[in-house]
Amino acid sequence: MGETFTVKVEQDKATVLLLPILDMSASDEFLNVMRTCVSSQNSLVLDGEHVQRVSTSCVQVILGAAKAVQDAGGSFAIENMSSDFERALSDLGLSEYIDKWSKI
Amino acid sequence: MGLRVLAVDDSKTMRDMVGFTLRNAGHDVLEAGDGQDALEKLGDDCVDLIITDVNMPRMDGIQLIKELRANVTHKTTPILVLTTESDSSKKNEGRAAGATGWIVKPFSPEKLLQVVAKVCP
Repeated sequence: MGETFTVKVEQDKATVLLLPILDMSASDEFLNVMRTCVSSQNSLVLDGEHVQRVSTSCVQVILGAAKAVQDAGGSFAIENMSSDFERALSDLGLSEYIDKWSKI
Repeated sequence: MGLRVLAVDDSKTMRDMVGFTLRNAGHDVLEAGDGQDALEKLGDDCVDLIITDVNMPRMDGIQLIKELRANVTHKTTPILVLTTESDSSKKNEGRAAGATGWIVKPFSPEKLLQVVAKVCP
């Protein structure tokens, strides 16, 4: 059994502590966690402090969650983005999102 | 009016994300886990659009496109290929096989809807 995501809920905000390795095997659980947070909370924050590696499918989940939260009128942000996480997003051509998601 | 779309990917997460985005936009989405599964589920049934990954077990996306283009029912159905930047050499292969276009993963939901609207106006 692998690590599980830690979710902290305060008022209408959920903060998800991301796992260090967000590979394909983590993507299904990550999607489930994101769905739960998006459906129950107004604001979603991902804590990326420990992220070392992130797969395309997990980035896809992040993109979907961000849109779902914003479409519902909520806010989405990533805080404490590790350099590995930032590099991975940049390598995937998502630099514009790094700025957007870092503004809370 | 919504489209009937077949999403083919061996990653359930990717199928879910494609499905979620398109269903929210009012489209009907069928799912298949690889090329072989797609052919079995489609048969001679018509869909408006097929979105397929490239690297999959049993039958990859390029072979799937070739098989579909050899079937008169699917000869002109728009087919979008999901690729990663590292798969960029597959774009030409996909186009030669008969793909209509491609989407680079990961994609923003807006981008997916834009491309779908472009190939299925």
